Amino acid sequence: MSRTARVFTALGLAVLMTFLGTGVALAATVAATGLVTVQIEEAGPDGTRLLVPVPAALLDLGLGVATLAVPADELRQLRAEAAPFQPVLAAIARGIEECPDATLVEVVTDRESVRVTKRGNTLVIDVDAEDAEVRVALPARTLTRVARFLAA
Amino acid sequence: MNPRRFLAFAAIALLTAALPAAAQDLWLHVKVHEQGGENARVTVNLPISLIESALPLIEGAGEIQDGRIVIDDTDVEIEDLRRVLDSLTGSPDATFAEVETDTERIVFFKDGAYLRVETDATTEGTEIRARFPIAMLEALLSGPENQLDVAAALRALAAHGPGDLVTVRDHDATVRVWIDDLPEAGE
Repeated sequence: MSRTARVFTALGLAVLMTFLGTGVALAATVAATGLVTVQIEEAGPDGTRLLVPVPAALLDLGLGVATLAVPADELRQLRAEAAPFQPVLAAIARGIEECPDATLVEVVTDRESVRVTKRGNTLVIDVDAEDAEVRVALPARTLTRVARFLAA
Repeated sequence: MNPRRFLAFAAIALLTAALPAAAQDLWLHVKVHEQGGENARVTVNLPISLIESALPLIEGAGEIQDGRIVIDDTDVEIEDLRRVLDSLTGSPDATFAEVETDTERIVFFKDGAYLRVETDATTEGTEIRARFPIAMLEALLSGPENQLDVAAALRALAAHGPGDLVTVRDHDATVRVWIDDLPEAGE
């Protein structure tokens, strides 16, 4: 193999490793922390169709950044306002995290339906109305993390 | 095997088997089926422990403080209710009140560990069956002064175990409220 071929091979391998490494790291992050997805489908030909999948780790990162980015006074005020509810939110979050799979709440009428279900480690909220379908799925642990953020 | 050792092993095995069952969470189920209108069907399946956790959240919404409902209405004195409940629980199973007209029948009676109310209104086709564990009612009335202790009532309900609480049937809707150890509501 010529010197040039060796250089290109090494470069190619480096690029491949970078992509593979990033992919594996992303997959590992998603596997470890879960995925938050928001899906919106509006009715009609011009209706918005939106799917936003976000690794829950990014939300953790966002909460971490918020502690740095939000002015200390405002953060203190937010936490002070949330303080009376924080233990309750934490208890509810823990309860949802620990409860087995179930449809927690379901309201179905002729025109629309709302479902809140726990499946595996994920809390799913489904709203199916005449004008839009909305589906939000988030790892149950995310609620616990938000409660912890409010307590910090 | 030594019989004593066998008994000890058996006791440990029984306790080990019983522990998960005792720790198992009970679920409160509510099912509402509307007939007519939008034909709404509402299903709620919640672990009792989760409801208990959420009780303080309702605090700001009304007269609930720390899981206790404060009764301001002077027409209903909790102390009077406590006295009535005490006298009812101390008595043997009996029908305490029965009102029957051409169109309606209401019966209030004690049945073992339960106080039960049954009403049948023939004209509206309404049928109500309510069955409340006495232990739950005692816990509900155990709050200080004029307060209902909802959290204590929930704990007592969970300790009492599975069973139907309320069923309502009429032309417009059926409602069922019950407790069991299954996460999903059956029929």
